[in-house]
Amino acid sequence: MSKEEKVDNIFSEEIFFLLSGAALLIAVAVVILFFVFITRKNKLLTEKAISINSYEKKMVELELHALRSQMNPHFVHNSLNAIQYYIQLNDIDQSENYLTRFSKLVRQFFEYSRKQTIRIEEEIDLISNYLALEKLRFEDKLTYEILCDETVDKEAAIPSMVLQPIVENAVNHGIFHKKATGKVTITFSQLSEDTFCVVIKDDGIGIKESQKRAQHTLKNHESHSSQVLDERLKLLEQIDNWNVEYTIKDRAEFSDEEGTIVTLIFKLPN
Amino acid sequence: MTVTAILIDDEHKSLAILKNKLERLCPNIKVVGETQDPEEGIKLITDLEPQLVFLDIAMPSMNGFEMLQKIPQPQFEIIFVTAFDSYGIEAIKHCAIGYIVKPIDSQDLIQAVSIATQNITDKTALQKNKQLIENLGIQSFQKKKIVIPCQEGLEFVKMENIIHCEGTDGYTKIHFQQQKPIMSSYSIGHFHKLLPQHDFYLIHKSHLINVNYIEKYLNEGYVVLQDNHKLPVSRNKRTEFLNMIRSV
Repeated sequence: MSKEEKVDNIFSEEIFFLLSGAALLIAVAVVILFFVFITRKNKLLTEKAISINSYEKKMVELELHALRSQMNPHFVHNSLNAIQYYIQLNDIDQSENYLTRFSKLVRQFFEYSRKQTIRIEEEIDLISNYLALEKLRFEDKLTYEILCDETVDKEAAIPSMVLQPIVENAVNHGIFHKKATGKVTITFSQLSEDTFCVVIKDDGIGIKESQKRAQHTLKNHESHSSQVLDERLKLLEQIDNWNVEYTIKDRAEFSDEEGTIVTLIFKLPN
Repeated sequence: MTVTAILIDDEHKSLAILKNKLERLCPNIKVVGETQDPEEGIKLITDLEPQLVFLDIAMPSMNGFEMLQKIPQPQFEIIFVTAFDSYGIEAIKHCAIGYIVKPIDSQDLIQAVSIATQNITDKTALQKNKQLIENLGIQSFQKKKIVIPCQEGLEFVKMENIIHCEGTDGYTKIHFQQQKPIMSSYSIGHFHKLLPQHDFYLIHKSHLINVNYIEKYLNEGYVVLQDNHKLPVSRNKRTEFLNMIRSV
């Protein structure tokens, strides 16, 4: 073996060690990176699963809340009570009329609470059905009007279960405590191509007075239902990109009329 | 026994239903007055001194409880008539006062009227009504008193003083902290419904205990209370019971 060959040999041996060292390092790095990647991925997946889970849970909860706030036990029992009255009077037509109306409304409550949106036409039908039943109870003490601008597309979508609880508040907190006849007016109008507005106005005792009374009786159903509404509107914004602006005002504060006015501006998701 | 009665409800339909049912089902009730206005109700009660008042809870301007508070000596039996009022019904039950729900069931009405008719001879209405008014003004559940009918008359006991209730043949023996036990003709199930669930736990079909008085739990399935009573916990309730006391 010549001297040169020997040097060459030592040299290639060194290179071999260096290369294998580097290869080992790279392999270890790859393995570490792989593990980091896997754990990251798993973590992300679980996080996502948890958030989907909690989202679904939230949805179910809200559906239940909404159904509860619509199927207000006061309303249910008072309606049935009024039907009992017509049965006692032997007024078969009226008894049947109100019984079927009531049953139709309950069916709508169940059906719509499962949907995110319904058609505006369906919403108007639900509200007029609801108010007709309240009128059965309040008789001459309650009048109502539902107005819908011609420009509003009645086939368009509206988030379900938003309006009825507000209308119910107008009746039960505004009109109920008023001595004279009260009126609830609901107006649908189109503001622009993708924005429409619903105004629920009553000439009852006003939200200020109604809150004062609620404090007296130790109950706060109203704040509870407005909390449910807030949550529902927030969720609609997060999930479906519905932008809903909601304002509630005591009419006595800016005019010489009494009552409460609730304005909802719905901006369609893009 | 003929009983004079006044009906107060803001809805004329409800008044009509009740009056019609009373005429048909409760011939001993003589309706001497009726009104849709609570303010007028106070006046009717003062002028006519009825033995029984049918009173709606949810009314505009003044609810049934507020109306009752405005009467200095409410000496009449009351049967509350309500569509739905969980808070109100709870308070009424605590004071052993009658109530019926709308739409009115005939059997419920007959029963409530017959109990009220019996009570009129006992002359306990004033005490019960005053207790109801007192309870409505107290926030804390434990500080409220419940009214328990027993042999000698009515017992008014603070809920927080009850250590445990023991069911025996449809009767219930109630044990207290510094008072000798009393016997009630209510069943243990009745007390289970009456007392707040957060504090009272049915550990066994005949033992309802106030969890605030638990001294210790023995692994063989017994609890020892502060009055040294050692009571069995049903096998099927042990897990739930242990979870509950851990969370308290």
